[in-house]
Parts: sequence; C-alpha cells; structure tokens
Amino acid sequence: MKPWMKWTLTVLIGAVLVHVAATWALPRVIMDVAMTRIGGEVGTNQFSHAARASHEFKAVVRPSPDLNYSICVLDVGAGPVRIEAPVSTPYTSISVFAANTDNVFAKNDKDAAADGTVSVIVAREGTEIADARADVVYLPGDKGLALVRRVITSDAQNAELNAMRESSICAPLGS
Amino acid sequence: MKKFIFWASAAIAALVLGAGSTALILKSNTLTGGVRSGSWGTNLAIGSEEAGLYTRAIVAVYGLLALSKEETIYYTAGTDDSGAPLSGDCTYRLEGKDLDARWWSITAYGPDSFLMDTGADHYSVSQTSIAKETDGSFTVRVSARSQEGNWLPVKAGQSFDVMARFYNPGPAIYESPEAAPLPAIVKETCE
Repeated sequence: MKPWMKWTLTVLIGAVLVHVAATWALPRVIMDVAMTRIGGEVGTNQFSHAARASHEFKAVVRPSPDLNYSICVLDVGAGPVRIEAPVSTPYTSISVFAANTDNVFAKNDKDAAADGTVSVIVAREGTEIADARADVVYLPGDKGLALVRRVITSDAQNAELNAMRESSICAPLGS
Repeated sequence: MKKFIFWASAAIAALVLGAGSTALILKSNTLTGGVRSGSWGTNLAIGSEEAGLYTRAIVAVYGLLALSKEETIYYTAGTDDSGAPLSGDCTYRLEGKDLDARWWSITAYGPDSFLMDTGADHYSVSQTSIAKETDGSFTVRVSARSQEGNWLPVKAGQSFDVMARFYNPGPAIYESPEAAPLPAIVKETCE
C-alpha cells in the first residue's frame, strides 16, 4: 500500500473512532457537569431547591419558568436512596435520570399515595430491596439525578410550594 | 522522524474530522427532529432508554433532563409557518386552542437554549396564565415590544425558538404526534 493511502485509511478509521467516542461521551460529560454544578453546594442524596428559573439561570438548558424545581444528585454506591415529595395541583412529578441522561423513572400526582406524596426508591442494579410495595428504580451506575417538578400557577402559590417542598425527602434508605 | 510526522499528522487529522463531524451533526440536529406538525417538531425518543447515540447527545446539548414521552412531549419551532427563522426583530401571532394535555406551556428560548433577558416579567404563556376566547381559542403575540393581551416576550436583534410542553399528553398526541393541533405561527410585522 502506498504511504498516502495508508495515511488516509488511518485518518478515516481514527476519525470514525473519535466521532463515536465523542458522541457517546458528550451526554455523560454534560450530565456530570450539571450534577457537579447542582450538587456542588449540598452534596449527594439530599434535595437542593432551586429558585424560580429566570434568564439568570444557566445550570441546565431550557429551564421551565413555570416549574418549581427540587433536585437531588444521587449516589447509590453505598446503598439505595429513598425519594419522597408532597404533591400539589395542577401537576407534580418525580423523575429519575441515569448518568447517561436517560429518564429511567417518572411518576406524577395522579398516582400519589393517600398521604398526598409520590415516592420511589433508587438503587444500583443488582441490589435487593426488601420493601416490595415501593416503586423501585435501578441505575446502571452509582450516579444519577432525581428531579421534582411542580407547576407554578402564581407568585403567591409559588411561595406555598417553596414551603411545601421543604418536607421533601432524598436520603439513604433507612436513615 | 518521518514515522513521527506520519502518525502525528494522522492523529490530528482524525481528531479534527471525528470531533468536527460530531459538532456538525449536533449543530444541524436539534430537538425539532423526528416528527413534524406544521412548524413544530418533536423527537419521541427524548429521555427514552431506547434513545440512540445521537438522540442522547442532542438531548444533552438542547434539552438535558427532558422527560420521556409517557410523561411529557416537547414540541419546538424555530421557524414561522412560511419557513422563515424566528427573529426578535419581528412580531408573530400564535393562534391555537388549548393543547391536548393535562397541563401545557409555551416558552421562548434564545439561541443558547436559555431564557432571554427581555426586560419583561414573564417568559412563557401557559394553560394557567393564558386568556382564551369563549370557544377556547387563543391568540398570543410574540414580540420584543410589549403587546396588549397574551404576550410572549422575546429579545430584539436575536433569533429564538418556542417550545410547547405537553404534560401528560392526551392519547391522540401519542397515536398521531404529527397531527397534534399546535398553534399556527404567523409573521405580522418586522422592524
């Protein structure tokens, strides 16, 4: 094979490998940066409650200005984590995201328990959970993120949501 | 030395080509890809565990922490009904009816996918905030200038897109997302 042909083939094979690796890694890197930004102040397995999104909010793209957000960066390496949040109308949901951005779980106020909360236990794949009644979601790795969304209908109602969300729980199971 | 130049130049060329082609694909594919309904587009693979390599990368760049379609469907429009890109130098009329969802909103985003500093006190219109006619229809003016009635503020001199969020969409949206009734986007005037 001529040297220029060998060089071109090497570049093409290398470019394909770089392209696939960059496309695969990008969501994981962006998610990791977001988790670091969000969890930086409060750490893992506890909720941080965001201020209402405005043009000053730059942590995550396309924030909804109509939603009251509570975020918990998850680390299930040491054991399962329980998430529980009181619901409000017209809409509340708990969602769980894996480190590759997949939305692996979502549950909303339509399926709230009798006590007016939605909850889920998050665990690493392969972990056995004793509580068979609870919704359980498994992450493929140790890290993930839980997000509670509550629709804001007015500034006054948002103040009520801010008070309500303080009773939300994101903590190691059994703690 | 010849060997070094061969491998070093090949490595640099592979990096530039590989990373450049990834950036190019992400730049030319936004959340509007997939299914289209008028000026609006959605990608039903958003948030799904079945999402492919490219969908995950696009979601990470343009819509991190988006919910899967079972919970929420997102439609985005970056053009008006004539196909022209949306510009903050123009005023548009959004004409539609209540979206088929338990709760919905329409929000304007700048070219960086963040909310814009327009000087107004709101960034969206929603099922809760919008004023409707007796038949359920509504008109929203999208403009950098303050408008009477329903107003979605944008920033002059800047391109933007609008995102409609369907929380708990109706069955018809699932079954025929390309037929989802979404507001028409009509350009009225430009500066």
